[in-house]
Amino acid sequence: MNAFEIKNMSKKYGRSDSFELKDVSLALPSGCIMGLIGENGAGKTTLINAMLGIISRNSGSVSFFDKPERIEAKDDIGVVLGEESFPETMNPTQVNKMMKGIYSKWDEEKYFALLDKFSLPAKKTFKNFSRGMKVKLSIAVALSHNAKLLILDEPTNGLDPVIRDEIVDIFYEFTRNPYNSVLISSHIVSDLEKLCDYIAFLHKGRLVLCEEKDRLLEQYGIIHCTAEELEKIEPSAVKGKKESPYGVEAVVERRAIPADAEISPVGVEELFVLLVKGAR
Amino acid sequence: MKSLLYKEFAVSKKTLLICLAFSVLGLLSSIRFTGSIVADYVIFSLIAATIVRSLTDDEKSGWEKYSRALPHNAFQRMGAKYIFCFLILTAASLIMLLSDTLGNMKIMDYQSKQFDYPITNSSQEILYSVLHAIPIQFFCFSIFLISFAVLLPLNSLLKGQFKVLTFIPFVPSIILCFVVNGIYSITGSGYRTYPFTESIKKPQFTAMFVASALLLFAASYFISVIIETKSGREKLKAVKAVAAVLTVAALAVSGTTVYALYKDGAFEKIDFSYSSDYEEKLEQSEAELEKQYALAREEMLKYVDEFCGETLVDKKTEYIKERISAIGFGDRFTEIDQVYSTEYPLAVAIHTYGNSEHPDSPDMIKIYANVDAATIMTDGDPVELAKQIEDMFSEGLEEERMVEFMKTYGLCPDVLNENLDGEKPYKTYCFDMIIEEHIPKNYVSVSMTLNIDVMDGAIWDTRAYVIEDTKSPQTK
Repeated sequence: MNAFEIKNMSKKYGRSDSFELKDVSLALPSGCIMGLIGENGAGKTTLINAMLGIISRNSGSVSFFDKPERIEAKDDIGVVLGEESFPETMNPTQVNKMMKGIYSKWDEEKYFALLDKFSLPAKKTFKNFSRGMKVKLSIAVALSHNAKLLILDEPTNGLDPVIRDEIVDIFYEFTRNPYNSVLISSHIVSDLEKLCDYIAFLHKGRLVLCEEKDRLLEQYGIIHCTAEELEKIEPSAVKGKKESPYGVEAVVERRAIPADAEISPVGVEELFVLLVKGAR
Repeated sequence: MKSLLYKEFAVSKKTLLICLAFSVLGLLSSIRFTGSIVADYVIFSLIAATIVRSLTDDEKSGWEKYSRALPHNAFQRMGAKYIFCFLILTAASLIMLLSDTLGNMKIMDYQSKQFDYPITNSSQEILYSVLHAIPIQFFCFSIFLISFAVLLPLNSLLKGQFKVLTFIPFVPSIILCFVVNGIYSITGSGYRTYPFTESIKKPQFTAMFVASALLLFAASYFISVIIETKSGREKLKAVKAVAAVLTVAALAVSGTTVYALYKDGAFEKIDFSYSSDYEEKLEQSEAELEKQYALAREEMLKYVDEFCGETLVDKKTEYIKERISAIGFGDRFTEIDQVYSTEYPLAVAIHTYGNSEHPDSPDMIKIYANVDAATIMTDGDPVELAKQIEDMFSEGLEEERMVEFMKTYGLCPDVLNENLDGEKPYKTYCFDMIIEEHIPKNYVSVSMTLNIDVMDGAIWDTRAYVIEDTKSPQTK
């Protein structure tokens, strides 16, 4: 079963806006974590907003849990939209009262346990929260209604490494249940590298690749060579390169590299950086 | 949707409490003061600011966006906003209605603050107070309902990105408010005469106005849903049809109301044109008034002539009613502006007559006047007048002093010498006090009860007549 499946989704903003999310198709099998990476303005937030119905789409469809798009499906989806969440004059206790009536499977005990765990004051208003606290509250809400899918838009953006690490651990814990899935967008690739089973790479509104992380790391490697040596490699196998006075660093498909060539394993971050540069 | 509604109240809790505190203050002050449409408009503006603040906070905090990711559709999301808006405007209307109703009730005893309606003591009079307050409250209610009917879809359309635009819907509403109120004021003499039949028309027309505002508000809800569903992926053709039907219905009801007002002659008295001979007309009008006063006084004297010594109160009341109405004396008062109370502009006529030759009253008539005036918001001071009358009377006035006093106040003193029984000559007194000239024209509410206790057996009869309008003179 897929946690979600996006088919040929396109979104174009006003006529003057050159950005366009174009023909994106993407599926996440249940029980997996997918990292959505891309530079700023690549279309990650647009994709998430369009799939959740926050903004309109020009074309395409989305299904959750193998069922056509229905409002009820959102009962099983937890969302974190960065800092954007609750009205500033509300406090976590009021949020609990509100959410009790919104989600059919709201778990009050779990919510307050998470508030404790995150050291969030129950009576302090949202406007007095730090950015980290705001994100934590959103995460507490997302995790307190027994959601099967978490959709997280840059949840770790702007947070310090300690909090980021805590949050990543929370998502790990969430995916211990084999039916729980996570779609997480971020440009902090190191977080995703720790967490994700799948990596989807968006660039200028297009889905450049979507692969299992391990397979991706197996499939690609980095070579350090001269420009002349690189020219000998099949061009389609070269996914990105970075030239310097000392030579060229390139991400290449391992299959296209001669057996005797020296190839180093690639990390998701390097892959991301070189893919972006290659795409430019 | 209950939860979304809870959120609206939770977010606005503090400002709503402030509004409630203001309303309670208004309610308390209504014990002494009558309200006005401007005061009500201020309270409604506070409420409106609360709603606008809630909308802008939603956008600022990202709730607008976040709520679309929750398992609620556009009907529920917009429904919560509309119901919240409707509920607090309704609550404000009811509180203000209560406040103005209390304000409309006259206070009989100024000192002990008894609430009583002193005219006929009929329970219907309380109903008239309510009926009179309804048009003001529900007029405000409708105006703000229409404002939000424009604002809420605009908010959805602009994704809350309004700054200057936020206040645009209120501009026509404010203009409309004063224009419509102006029309009521100009044309409303027929509506200001509770408890008469025609006065009931005002709440009736207001009810029509409220109905059209409600229909427009409902139409606006469906329009907002359409705008919201455009943002998402839901397509609701039926919603568009409902919105169209409701809009047409709202326009039809509004049109019918205006037409009904037109047929009723409500617009006939409107004259905005400036006349160059205004001053001349004014002088003529004043001369005409003087003439009317003279006639009125004459009528009163005739009354005294005719009934002196009789005790048939009912007959007297009936008489004065006929005579004073006949010469249009009361018409003078129906033109007093800003009479928000029971619509009884008043003059007080005091008639006292008796025998000064009576052995118990050799040369002095003692009249103790107790004037209870619940007159608030006046630039004149009937209370002061009352005090003066009380003081002077309590000292005891000699006949000459009393006459002089009356002259000082521009009253109409007269002394009649009449031999009533034909055997023994009696010196009789008749004082006609018409003290309306001391009641400023722009008072809001006057309730004056002039109780004259005649402390002298020589006085045959003393009565004060509160002449409230041509149709409803009341005897005190």
